Amino acid sequence: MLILTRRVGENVIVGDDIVISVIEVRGDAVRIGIQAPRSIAVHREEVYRELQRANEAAAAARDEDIGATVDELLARDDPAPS
Amino acid sequence: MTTLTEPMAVNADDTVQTLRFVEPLPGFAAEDEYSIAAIDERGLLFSLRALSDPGLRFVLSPAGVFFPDYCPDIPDAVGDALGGTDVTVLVMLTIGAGLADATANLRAPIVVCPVTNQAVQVILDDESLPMREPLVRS
Repeated sequence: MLILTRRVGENVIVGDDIVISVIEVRGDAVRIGIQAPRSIAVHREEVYRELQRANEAAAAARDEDIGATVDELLARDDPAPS
Repeated sequence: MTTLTEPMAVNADDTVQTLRFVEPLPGFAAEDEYSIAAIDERGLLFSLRALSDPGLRFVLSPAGVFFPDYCPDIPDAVGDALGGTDVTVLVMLTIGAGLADATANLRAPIVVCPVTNQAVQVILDDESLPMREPLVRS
């Protein structure tokens, strides 16, 4: 891991085309800007990890539970409230 | 009970569409091509099944079906990445023991461009949107 010090307004460049800028420092919060090619996805780590877990839970649904849920939906007077 | 068998398509025209994800679904880096097909004849739920691993299956719903007020602001960059500006928004569902346990991920919808058949799961920059919103009010 590279550890370095940057001031507000200074940048770090990663590879050829990813630029990370320090926008503002206030207390223990740092606002950073990230310029990256569209092919590079940039996310807050905790949100991305939570989404991985949510997707894994979504993929674990059992056929019989999906079938039962569909049946429950179709049995309702208003399966899709609008 | 509704039995889920292959093919799950019960679209009016019985078609199964193939979607290519421009970024893999987080947690499933190995897959980028999926088939999508309606599960029920009313088009409430859809299955999204990995082409190379049919055991990997998600359940989606068009965003407005259960959440009529849910109209997320999709960044223009998403349309650019999908190759078209007209996009359809679906939400990923987590199905438990029954309808009361079912939740929808409103924070990270699946955005599809029907013209290019490309798709992506977008993490919206709105922390108030839940990843596990109950599908129906009990």
